[in-house]
Amino acid sequence: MTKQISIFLILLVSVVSMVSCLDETTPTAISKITVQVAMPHGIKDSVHYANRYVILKSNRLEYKVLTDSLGKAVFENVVPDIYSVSTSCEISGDQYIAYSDTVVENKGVIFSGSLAKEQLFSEKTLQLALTKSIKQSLLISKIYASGTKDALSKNYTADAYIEIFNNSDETQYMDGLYLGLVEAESVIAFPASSNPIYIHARQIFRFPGSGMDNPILPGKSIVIANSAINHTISAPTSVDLSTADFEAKSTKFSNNSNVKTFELIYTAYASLLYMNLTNGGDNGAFLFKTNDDISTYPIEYIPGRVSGNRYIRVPAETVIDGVEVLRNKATTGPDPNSKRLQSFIDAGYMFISSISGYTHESIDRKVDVAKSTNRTYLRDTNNSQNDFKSVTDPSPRKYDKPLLLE
Amino acid sequence: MRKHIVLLIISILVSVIGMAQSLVYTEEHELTQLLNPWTMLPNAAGLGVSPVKKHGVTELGYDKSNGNYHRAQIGNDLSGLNFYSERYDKLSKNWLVWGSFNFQMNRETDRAWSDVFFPFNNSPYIFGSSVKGNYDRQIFDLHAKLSTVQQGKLTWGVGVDYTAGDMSRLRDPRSRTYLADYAVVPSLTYKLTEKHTLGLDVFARYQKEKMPNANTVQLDPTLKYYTFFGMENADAVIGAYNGFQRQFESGFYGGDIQFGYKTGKINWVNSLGMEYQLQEVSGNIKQSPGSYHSLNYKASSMFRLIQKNKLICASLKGNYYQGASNEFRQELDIIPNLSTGIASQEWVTLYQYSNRYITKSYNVDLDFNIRNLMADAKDYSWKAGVNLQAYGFDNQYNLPYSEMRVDRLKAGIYGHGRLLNKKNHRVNLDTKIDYDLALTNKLVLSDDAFVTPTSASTTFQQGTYDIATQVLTPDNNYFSQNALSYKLEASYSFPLSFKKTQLVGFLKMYIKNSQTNQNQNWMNAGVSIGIIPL
Repeated sequence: MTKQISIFLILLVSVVSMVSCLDETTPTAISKITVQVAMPHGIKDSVHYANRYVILKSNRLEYKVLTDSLGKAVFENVVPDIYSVSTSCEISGDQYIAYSDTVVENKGVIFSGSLAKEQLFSEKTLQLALTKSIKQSLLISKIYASGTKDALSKNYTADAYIEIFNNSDETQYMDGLYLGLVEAESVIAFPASSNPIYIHARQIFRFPGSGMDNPILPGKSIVIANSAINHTISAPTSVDLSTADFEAKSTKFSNNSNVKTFELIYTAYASLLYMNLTNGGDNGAFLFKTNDDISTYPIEYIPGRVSGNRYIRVPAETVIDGVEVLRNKATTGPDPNSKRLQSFIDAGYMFISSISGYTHESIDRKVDVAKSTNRTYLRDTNNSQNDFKSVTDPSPRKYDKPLLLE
Repeated sequence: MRKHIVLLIISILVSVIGMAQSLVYTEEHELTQLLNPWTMLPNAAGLGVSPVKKHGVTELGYDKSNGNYHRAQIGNDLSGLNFYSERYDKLSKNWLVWGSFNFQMNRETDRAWSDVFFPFNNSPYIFGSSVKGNYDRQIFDLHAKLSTVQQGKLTWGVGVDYTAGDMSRLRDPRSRTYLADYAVVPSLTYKLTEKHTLGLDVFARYQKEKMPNANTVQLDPTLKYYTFFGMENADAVIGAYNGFQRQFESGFYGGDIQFGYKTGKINWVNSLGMEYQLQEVSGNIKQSPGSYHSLNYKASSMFRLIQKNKLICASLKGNYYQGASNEFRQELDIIPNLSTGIASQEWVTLYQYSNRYITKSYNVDLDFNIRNLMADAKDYSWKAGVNLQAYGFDNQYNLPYSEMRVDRLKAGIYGHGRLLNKKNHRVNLDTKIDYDLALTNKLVLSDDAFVTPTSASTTFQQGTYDIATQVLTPDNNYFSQNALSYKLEASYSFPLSFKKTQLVGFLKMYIKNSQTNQNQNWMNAGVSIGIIPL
């Protein structure tokens, strides 16, 4: 009997000893991530990017650290993840002259730099090269493309619009300027990373006028619509665009004969004569100025193809302002690798929270509160993640919402 | 569905086949199982250790529960039908068989935050909506055991389990979840002496829970769909139910060893087992939030002593469960073929956070009762017992750290008495009262969890805030409460004739109420009818 119980106990101990408890070693944070910020070309070697914030941002967490006197930011105890790294600052015209190693114009300048999708899974030192851009007078200030639901809960898409704001203290004229919408293939065809000096556009429109026909007063804006009517009659959560300044005329939507035509210069889709703003994105837009004959710009197929959609190639150096608006994805969020605009145009990107639209979400530029004492100035750090907010109450020409004043 | 209805009818017929002999009442059926503890174990060969008289039980009931004392991921109201049938039989001279079939069809009202079958202390990858909706659920559960009679010192057996489930949400987003669970459990027992028996079973089990694309009429364009990663960490994306698909595939492997001791008065069976689970969670083209694995240690000891006309039963059952998830950080690789222009896509795992979510739970249940036996241990007139249960869990997320820990102790007493016994018409009354006491109730969430999101917040920040404030905080309040519960059950059993065949019919009704110290309550009531054919 004792022998038999012993056999049972031996069997028991053997089985138990073969299995141990689960390994409970937990993941650990990265002790140090270093970001060395390098000033842009044309700035004296003795000038460093000192005492400025550098931001590490993932879908979950954000870290913000000041650079030291040599332009180095050190992040400690960082959760391993995929991060975007960004920084930007604005300097006055006088500072720009003092920092430059050559003679430059006395104009305000923005230093900005970003790294998208950095895989930070262990200790690492990153080099962040800054670019400089002259502060622009005209800014793209709102892009509303998501559409909404009408009174019968059906999808409503006629109310898309783009707004352009005069952020300077002088009257600006829209005459002859162009607005482009970037290529938006579901699998990106022309990423900025592969096209450092060109943007491929799916559509280009031109503002009419012969020089001084379409002024924008300082602190004011113009609205460009696909259908310049009061959309709130059909869709209560929509917008009143009956006072829009320009309209991309087409037979698809109701048009307003009192509104000037936004001239279509190029479209990759023959049947789409209106602004092809898609409900979920991608909706990168850029404002540019050129004396070139646009019809001479190359029109290219998607690399590897000899048929299908063709996109017009625009020199990036002609861009006055651009905003990258990416498609949000259910599983991963927006993909920074699908940026079509170079970082010197927009170091970041924006997106709406919906993945398919109809949520009356608009991308609105925030107000530069510190500067806006007598009139409204909008924020322009050359990084749409810093400069814009996604709001759910699209409202043309309105900049006093609390969300935009944060 | 038609297939399941056919199975249900077959099951009823199987129960009714094989009549004659003396009638078996509910008490005898209960005592048969109590006095043969091997039948209550997964070891199919245990049927051969202590063969059970041929009989079956078939019961159809309706239950309804409602109240406000429930977790955030449970609905306010649950009602439905429950059909159960089981039978002990002898296939031939050398083969014994037992089979059971259970069909549940119920509706859960005002449930939110979980579209999966197993939302608690399990895989952290839950999917669901914040909008409360009704859920219809059907579960078919089949079990069978086949065993040889004692052949020398050995008995051989095999068990087969099959469960199929279907859960449909009746409001946007209209998700549907399917469950399939198969297991095969070969087993044996070895008689060491006349009094001592050893048993062994091993099993392999496959479980798959599949969630295809959710349908919606999309009246609300701002509707979010949530992906949980463990504790408060979740992603809330508007419209994410579009194109959604997910499946959980688990392999379970394990076994149990048993040791039985039996004399004329004593029957004592002990079992010790463990189960290892490996789960893969996958979506389209290998997209996956992570994997999950677990270990479950189980132990039980069932002791029966017959002393004169008293049956004393003591049982101690417990388990300790450890689970952990490895969270993946993935990236969609798009590889364009420059010669064709066609792009292929693949999710690549860039990093794995080992044990990012760890869950542990335990349950120890001690039960002691005494019955006053009658009629050669086929009936009893009264029963009295006490029950003590300790249970709890500890869920922990790492980087950033958050934790929810609960420890509770439940103590109760119960009794059974016969009110009437006249010409084989029996009326019994059962009652139970218990008190469920909160010992530990800890909730620590990450600093960012309670930061009110703005429209500029990421979908993750919005999801995390919602789960922290609308799921974990109410759950924390739920577990902070002590609850007093009482249950009253009346049953009536009677002889019945069915085409010259005698059998026993029964009718049961019960009501149970749990009342907490914060004035929340949960009420259950049910009625069932059944037969016990030979």
